[in-house]
Amino acid sequence: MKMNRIKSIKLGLFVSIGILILILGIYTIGLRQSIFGTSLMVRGIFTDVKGLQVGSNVRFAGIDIGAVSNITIINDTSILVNFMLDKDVQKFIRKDSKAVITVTGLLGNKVVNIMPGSLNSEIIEEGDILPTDQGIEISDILRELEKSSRNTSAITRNIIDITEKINRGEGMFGQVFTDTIFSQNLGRISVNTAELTDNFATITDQIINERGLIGHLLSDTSLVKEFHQVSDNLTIASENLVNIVEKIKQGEGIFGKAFTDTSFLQNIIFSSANTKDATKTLAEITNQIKEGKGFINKLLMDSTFSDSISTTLENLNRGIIELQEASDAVERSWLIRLFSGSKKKERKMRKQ
Amino acid sequence: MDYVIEIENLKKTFEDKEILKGINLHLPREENLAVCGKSGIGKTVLIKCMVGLMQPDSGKINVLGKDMMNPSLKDLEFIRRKIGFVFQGSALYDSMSVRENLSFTLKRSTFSGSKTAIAERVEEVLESVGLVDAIDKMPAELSGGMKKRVGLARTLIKSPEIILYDEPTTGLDPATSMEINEMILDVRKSNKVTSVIITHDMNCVRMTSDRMLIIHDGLIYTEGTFEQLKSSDDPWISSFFNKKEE
Amino acid sequence: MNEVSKFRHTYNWLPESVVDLFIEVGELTRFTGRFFKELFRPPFEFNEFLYQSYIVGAKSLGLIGLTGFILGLVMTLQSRPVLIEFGAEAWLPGMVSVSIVTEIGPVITALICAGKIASQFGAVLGSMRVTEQIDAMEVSGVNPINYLVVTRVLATTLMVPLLVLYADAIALAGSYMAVNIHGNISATLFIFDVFDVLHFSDFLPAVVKTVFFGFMIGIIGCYKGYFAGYGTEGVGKAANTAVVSASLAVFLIDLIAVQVTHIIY
Repeated sequence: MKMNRIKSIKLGLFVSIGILILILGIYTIGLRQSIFGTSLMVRGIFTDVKGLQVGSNVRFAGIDIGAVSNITIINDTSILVNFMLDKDVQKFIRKDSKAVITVTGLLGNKVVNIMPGSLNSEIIEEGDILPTDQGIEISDILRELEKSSRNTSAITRNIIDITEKINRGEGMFGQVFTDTIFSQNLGRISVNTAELTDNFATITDQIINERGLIGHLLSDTSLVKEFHQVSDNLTIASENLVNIVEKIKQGEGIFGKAFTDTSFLQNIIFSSANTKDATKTLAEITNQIKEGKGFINKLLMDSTFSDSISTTLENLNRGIIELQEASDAVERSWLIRLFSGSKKKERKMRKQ
Repeated sequence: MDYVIEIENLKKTFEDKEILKGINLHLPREENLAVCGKSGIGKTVLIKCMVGLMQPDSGKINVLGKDMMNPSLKDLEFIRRKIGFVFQGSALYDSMSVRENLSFTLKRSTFSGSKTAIAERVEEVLESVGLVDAIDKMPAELSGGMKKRVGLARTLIKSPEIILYDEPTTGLDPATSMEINEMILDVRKSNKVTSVIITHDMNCVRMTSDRMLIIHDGLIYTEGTFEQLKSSDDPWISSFFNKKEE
Repeated sequence: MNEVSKFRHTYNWLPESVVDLFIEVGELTRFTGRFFKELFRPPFEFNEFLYQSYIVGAKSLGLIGLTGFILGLVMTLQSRPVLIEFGAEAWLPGMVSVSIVTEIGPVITALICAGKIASQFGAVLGSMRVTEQIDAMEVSGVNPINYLVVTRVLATTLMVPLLVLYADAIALAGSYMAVNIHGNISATLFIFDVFDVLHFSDFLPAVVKTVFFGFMIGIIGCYKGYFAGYGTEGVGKAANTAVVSASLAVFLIDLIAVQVTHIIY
């Protein structure tokens, strides 16, 4: 059949538009890959291109400015990557701009990111080799994650080992946790200790706060003065007493008469001597206390010392509570329960 | 004698069925040979072997001095330029007009001529078959007789030395058959061609042939002139004639 | 007994259909060989080639365009809910364009061409065979392969890729419309999104494989028609088997193409 004019026109139109679509398609895709048009070739050397492919995009400040045109292996640690960049962006890229391979999105394509360089550096030229940087990749993160999870698993394995030993009654903690009498004692001790330290704490508290008898007695300096006066008075009193006794000995006054009985007098003299001795030692002690000597003084007078003791005791107290809590937690933890459960099963099996 | 077609012991088999079992045939120049026989007996196969449309299995076949058993492309081209084939159903290219049908071969053969020369030749041939008016018609618009005549014209246009007619009058009314028969005779007279006419129309045989042969069971059963065979005593042959004349 | 019968008899354990398949593949290969031989032998039937190109290309454009448009529209509408679920609605143009350009466009276009063109070739050449027009052509000294087959196969080889490009473009237009049914996206952004994800490694193999699609559609349609059995049944069978075989061939080529593309890129 003959081709007439109309058919020729239709065919011509069909083919022309078809070829136009082809050209547009190729050109548009090509434009994105910067294969056509004026371009600038720069290079970068990487140790690992992380799956970068020829045609992968090159970005600068998040804008696609070109594509990877060639990837060649130079040696086992360096891979030469050529980029074709848009000539228009040349003026923004410096010689110290770094090229980094990054990922677009979580599972996206690899792209080369060109970081802005320093302003005082020169503008890049055709064929320049850009400094590169190994970017962070998901796989790196995953590798780190894997490392830490491996550590975690080692730790838990150790814990299992330990708890296993504890369950089997090995080592100190084992005895602590498995020997019931011991632990009961320990419990009682710890309860007592807690009470004791509680008391201690309140006592020292009171001492520090100058409350209570001992507090008053030992920390109030005015009291000590009074003590001193008392003893002074006591000596005066006893001197007077000696005078009185002299007068009585001479048989003067009522008392003289009353006390001329020698045995009575003898007793009086004895007791006054004792009193003298007693007051002497008392005076010595109070002197010593006053001068800040001796353990008791330290114990009772030095506020920092008593402070530290009180905190020590408090710490001890808290430490014991924590130990208790910790042991409770360990006992309650699923891991141990799981293990002790299986232990029970094992025991049952053995019994059978 | 100058034979244009020589066939010896020609055999052809189709899918386990032996159609031709050893045909011997010698055709002198400018003779009109009628080949008769029942339908499906292999008459068409025989003439198709003559132009290389089919390859015989064995035997000898020689057309215009060229061996047609394994013809070279050059020989085939030569033979096809010299032999015309009028197909049973005319076989006009139904996507082309009558003019295109006729000029189709001329444009592509060794016929050297300008477009006007081709156009003139087309009109000349169409005139000889009396169909100039139908020159721009499509084959679908033509009657059976007209198609036959266009088919004949398409064959004549390359001035062949031999024309093979495959059932030229089958399916036509007696009057049209008569016209075709006369045309076959005209062609022989004006172009000095040798013809092989395959037919089972005895009127056609009587009018156009110098000699006829009857094929039966893959072999040539008998041969002679129309008159000779018609007066044959053989009951099978005479039944053939009677049946056909009814 | 001829050679085929002998073969069947010797290897009678082979199923009939397998032997038929071998025969078919062998004959098709020989036919392809004849095509290439005639392709470079003058004369080149330029006018007929143009006419066949017109039939295959311009005349099929309406059908291809309509299917392409619907395809782009439907694919976008159907992909949308899934992408929204992933919070990746912005990927819609890119995803649809990649699937259209690399796979759906070429294959659907090729299948429609197999249905429309291969069947037509099968029917036309089949009826020419049955009415002895091919014989007539051969006897008249014109090589029917040269005139009928080379022109048609060349036409499909060159026109099917063009049709695919049309289908791609129209399907993207349909996709653009579908995106705008729900949201609002400028044509510029849409085109940017589309071409942002398309690479040469998607586009070129897709175009190249359509050349093979076109070639196979043409050669199978012509082969089936050229060797059609006699009678009207033969013509029908030629048209029918042409469609079936051509469609199958399209998928086979697609299968090969996908792997070859992976090897090359």
